[in-house]
Amino acid sequence: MANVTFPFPYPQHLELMLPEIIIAIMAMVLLIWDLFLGKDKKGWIAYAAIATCVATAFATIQVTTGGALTTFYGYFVLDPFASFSKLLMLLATVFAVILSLDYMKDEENVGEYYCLILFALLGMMLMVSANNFVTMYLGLELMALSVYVLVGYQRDVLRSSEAALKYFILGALSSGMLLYGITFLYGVTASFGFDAIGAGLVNANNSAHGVVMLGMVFVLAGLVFKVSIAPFHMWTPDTYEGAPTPVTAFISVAPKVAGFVVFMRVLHDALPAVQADYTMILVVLAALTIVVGNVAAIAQRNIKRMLAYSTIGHVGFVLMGLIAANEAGYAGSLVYLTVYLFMNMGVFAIIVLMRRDGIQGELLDDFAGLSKVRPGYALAMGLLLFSLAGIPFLAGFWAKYVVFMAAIETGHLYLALLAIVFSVVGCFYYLRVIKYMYFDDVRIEFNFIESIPMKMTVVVTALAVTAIGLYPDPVMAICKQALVGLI
Amino acid sequence: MLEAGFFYLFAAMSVIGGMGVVLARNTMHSVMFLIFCFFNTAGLFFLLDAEFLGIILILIYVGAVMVLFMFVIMMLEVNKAKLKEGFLQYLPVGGVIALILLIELIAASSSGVFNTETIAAVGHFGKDVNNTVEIGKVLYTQYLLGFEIAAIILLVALVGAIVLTLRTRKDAKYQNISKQVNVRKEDRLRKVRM
Amino acid sequence: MIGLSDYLIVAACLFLLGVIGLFLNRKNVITILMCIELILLAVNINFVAFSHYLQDISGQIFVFFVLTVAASEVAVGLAILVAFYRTRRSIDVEDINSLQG
Repeated sequence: MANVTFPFPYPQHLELMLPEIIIAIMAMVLLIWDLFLGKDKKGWIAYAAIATCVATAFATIQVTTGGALTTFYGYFVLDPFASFSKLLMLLATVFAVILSLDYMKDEENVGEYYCLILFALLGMMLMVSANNFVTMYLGLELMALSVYVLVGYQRDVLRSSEAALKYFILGALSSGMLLYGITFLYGVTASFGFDAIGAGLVNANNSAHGVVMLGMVFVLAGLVFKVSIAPFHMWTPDTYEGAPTPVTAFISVAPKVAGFVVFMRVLHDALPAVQADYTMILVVLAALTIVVGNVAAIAQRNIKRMLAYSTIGHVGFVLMGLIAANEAGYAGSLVYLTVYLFMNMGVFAIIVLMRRDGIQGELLDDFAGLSKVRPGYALAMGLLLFSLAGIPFLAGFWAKYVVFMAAIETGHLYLALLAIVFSVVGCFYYLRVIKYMYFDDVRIEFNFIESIPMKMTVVVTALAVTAIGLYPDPVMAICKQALVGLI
Repeated sequence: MLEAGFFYLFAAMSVIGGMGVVLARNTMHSVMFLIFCFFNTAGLFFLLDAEFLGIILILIYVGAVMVLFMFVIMMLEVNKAKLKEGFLQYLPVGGVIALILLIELIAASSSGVFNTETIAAVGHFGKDVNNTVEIGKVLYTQYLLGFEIAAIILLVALVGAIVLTLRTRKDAKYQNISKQVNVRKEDRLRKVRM
Repeated sequence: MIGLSDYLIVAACLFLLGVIGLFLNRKNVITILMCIELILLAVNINFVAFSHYLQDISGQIFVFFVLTVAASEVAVGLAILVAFYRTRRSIDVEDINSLQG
């Protein structure tokens, strides 16, 4: 039984949690402030949310030190790895809020929408700072519950609530599987900390092997769902299509970053004893994911569905970095996630810009002739899509390059070859959109949303993709440095 | 001996309850079976010296969560479900997979690690050990962070559920808080010269 | 004498019943939500059994959190279900089909 003496010491180094505390307090303040704002002034909440994210980013940089520090009796860890992913998620959140500015302004309960985004962000920030299953599970559920509601936010639109329902059912099932796996790891090691479980599994005797494998498979199944790796990807296309587009942009990036960071921590800290086994499983899953994502995307006519399958394909590439399981591999995955954030947010910004009353601007046909009406948007979209396709000397190329090299160096040559083949297949559906934009005639009347922050988003993402493509070294160096704490 | 008897009783009843949830045609019957299952599981928790969780299970699950289920079922007028052919169509494949999984799970559950002498020798706590106190001691100290996050999760669930379902009816009268707060003196006060 | 394995087997049975009910269910979504509750119940039995036999209270703390989260999950899930019902007028599993896939 636990030996606790009173008075119990006050938690040391609480300042490490400053970013989370700011987000939590501001989300609650905004929730109340929303009540006092008139219908036409709800936009202020969005700007306040952006300001909160910026302040949190500064706080995150401020509290980060070179090494790993823990607080709350060791249940919360802050290392450069967590800080870097927090900055990525904050950036993704700022972009998502900007995309929502115009899209959401006619919905009911606008204020709560931004609060839920902040709560989802809080959950993800706790996830990446978790060094044990308790904090991880609670952060994960905080994120998941907020996101279920966000997906179903347009409650009068059938496909929005249907998307939320599907996402909820499969998400709850995956949490159940994750928990069932955790029980067995706990049963063998009597601990929830990643490091303690890792040490316990190394020392566990042979008779425990079956149980450990069972626990590992269930934990992997639960985690794999959250980052939509095949065969647990089924929810992705439906959820992406049905969710409000800014929410789709949000969930296509931020939870993936958080999910992969947790994935890396669990694999590296908690399961090193069974590395050979999980590598075998992950290789199969990665191959399946890359094939499913890139092949199924070809058949899609709705660009949100197409991007959903494209996400699945990209997630497969990120997973290759985890399979390599060395410094180059993990750094490659981080580079990939960083680059993917800019590419995806830019593409979704253009999709949101094309939304008009009645017509969603989501079918591929709607992009026909874009270059003749708005050459600037067409150019930005073209750059982003070329980058997603992995055309050399744009950011996406380097992202693929680092994970492929990491996979080849660790002896996964066949997987890398398969990935190269299917990234060429994947080029087809990205280039098809470009063909629509540049070589087809205008079919519908364009009527763009005029919003300066969103135009800035498009410009910033397109520039970032080009800049990283021409000069990738700084990003790669930062991602390598960010691994302090994991390795 | 008495303990073993109770274990088999509670275990059998909770599994039967679980089967009832899956097999019952009427959704309301499924809810009843689930409640039955929760009661028996609470019994299992008592046998494991986890009195606090057993009582929580009954109070929160049976008392609140299952009532919420019933409320929704009655609100949505769910008709008696027709047992569709689909169930039997997938039964052979699903059954085989489930059987394999069951064998694996049971094999893992009864594997050697869980039958060591130290584990077998574990007895019950005496009267002086209070489960609630023990939980409280750890929950509000070491697990304080988890406790705080759980509080925020409950807040999010509250906000989320309200946002998704609350509708202001046009014909009913409501308070408009923002209007009330933003009201100016000039709106309400009229100087009248006497 | 009742050992740890016996409790784990009960939990395994409940877990499987939940999973089977979730996949073979052709009825309505509420039953699916109840199957998820069964899965979480199985998880809880596992945690409590381990906690008792390992003489480690932290397993029970985790159950406490799982119960909290499960209650929140039910609230949000039922809210989504009600929102869905209002537009679709049905909660049969077969009627969740407006999104292809």
